[in-house]
Amino acid sequence: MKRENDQDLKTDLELIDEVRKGNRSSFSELVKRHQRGMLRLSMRFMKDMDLAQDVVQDSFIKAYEKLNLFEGRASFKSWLYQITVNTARNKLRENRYDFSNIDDVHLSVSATAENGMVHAAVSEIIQTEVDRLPFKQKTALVLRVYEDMSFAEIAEVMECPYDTAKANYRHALLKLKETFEAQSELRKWTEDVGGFFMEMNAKFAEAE
Amino acid sequence: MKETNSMKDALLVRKMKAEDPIELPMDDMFFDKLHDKIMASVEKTEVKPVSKWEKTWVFLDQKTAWRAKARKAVKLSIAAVTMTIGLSLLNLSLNFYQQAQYVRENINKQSIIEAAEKNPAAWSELMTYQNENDFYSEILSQRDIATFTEVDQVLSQSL
Repeated sequence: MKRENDQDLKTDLELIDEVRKGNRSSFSELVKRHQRGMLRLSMRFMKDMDLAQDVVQDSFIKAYEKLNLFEGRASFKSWLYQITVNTARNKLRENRYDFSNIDDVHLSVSATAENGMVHAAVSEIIQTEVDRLPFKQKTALVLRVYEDMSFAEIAEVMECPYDTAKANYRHALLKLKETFEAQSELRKWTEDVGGFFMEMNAKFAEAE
Repeated sequence: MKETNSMKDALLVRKMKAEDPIELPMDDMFFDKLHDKIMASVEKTEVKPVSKWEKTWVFLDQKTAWRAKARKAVKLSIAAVTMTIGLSLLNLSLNFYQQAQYVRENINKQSIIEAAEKNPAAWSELMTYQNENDFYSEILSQRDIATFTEVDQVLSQSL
């Protein structure tokens, strides 16, 4: 118990040093610390819990194998996320998964009885549009919005300059905004047309 | 306008967070199991020693800002060199064309003079008065070769 508490207090870098010295159990603590975040990130790309778990497992194995290449310039979390994103991308390529396939996505809709349909639609639209984005833009968006990462951290994960990471995020956001604006216009038009037909029906009913 | 856009961005981000579709299992059992699975794989793996090549590669790879600047500089240099070469070639071909034109004109003049000297009357009949060579033919038609040569010389000097 005391040993576990000691491990809890250590920083990632201290644990990495111990692993390099041959203490494999220190890596166990690193896994405990980062597996949730990595699984969440992996799920965003894979859309399947089993596949996401495979990605996390492969990422940790890669990280362990290449631990000597980690120099500590970026945070260990960023380095792990970088490996996870690359592993997920490779897995998607291998399996030739369609980025826009959301049939199997488990959607959590916090819908109320009154506007359940609207909420479900919005959530679905968001997910569809996020999945349609190019991989780099999607990565930047996911890391910024859902993982609350700074652009410097995103740049580390994506292995690109700061400005590129920021540009990818801005482009992604712009595309989503455009889609939403188009969708709201379409909804407005549908409502107008729907209203017109309702009125016509009522008039026919009156005439009969 | 800018404020409206940033407000829209903020709203969209908030909406995306609220509608986050990812649901992770909350129980520790699940993560304990995942952890054990990962560690079982890690047990069969060894930390690989790093070669010098790999170290150099990683060092270069981490210099993302340098890489971006270097790439930009290389692109700009290539663009500048391409433009310089393109313009030089254009200039060269223009000069070549002008020289060829000059030579061709001289040859034409020479052949006109020669033909005219042989048979001035026939030459003047054949000619149409539509280009600068007609001028020579006009003179030749008057069988005044001396005047023609004189005019040609003056024109050549003025050019």
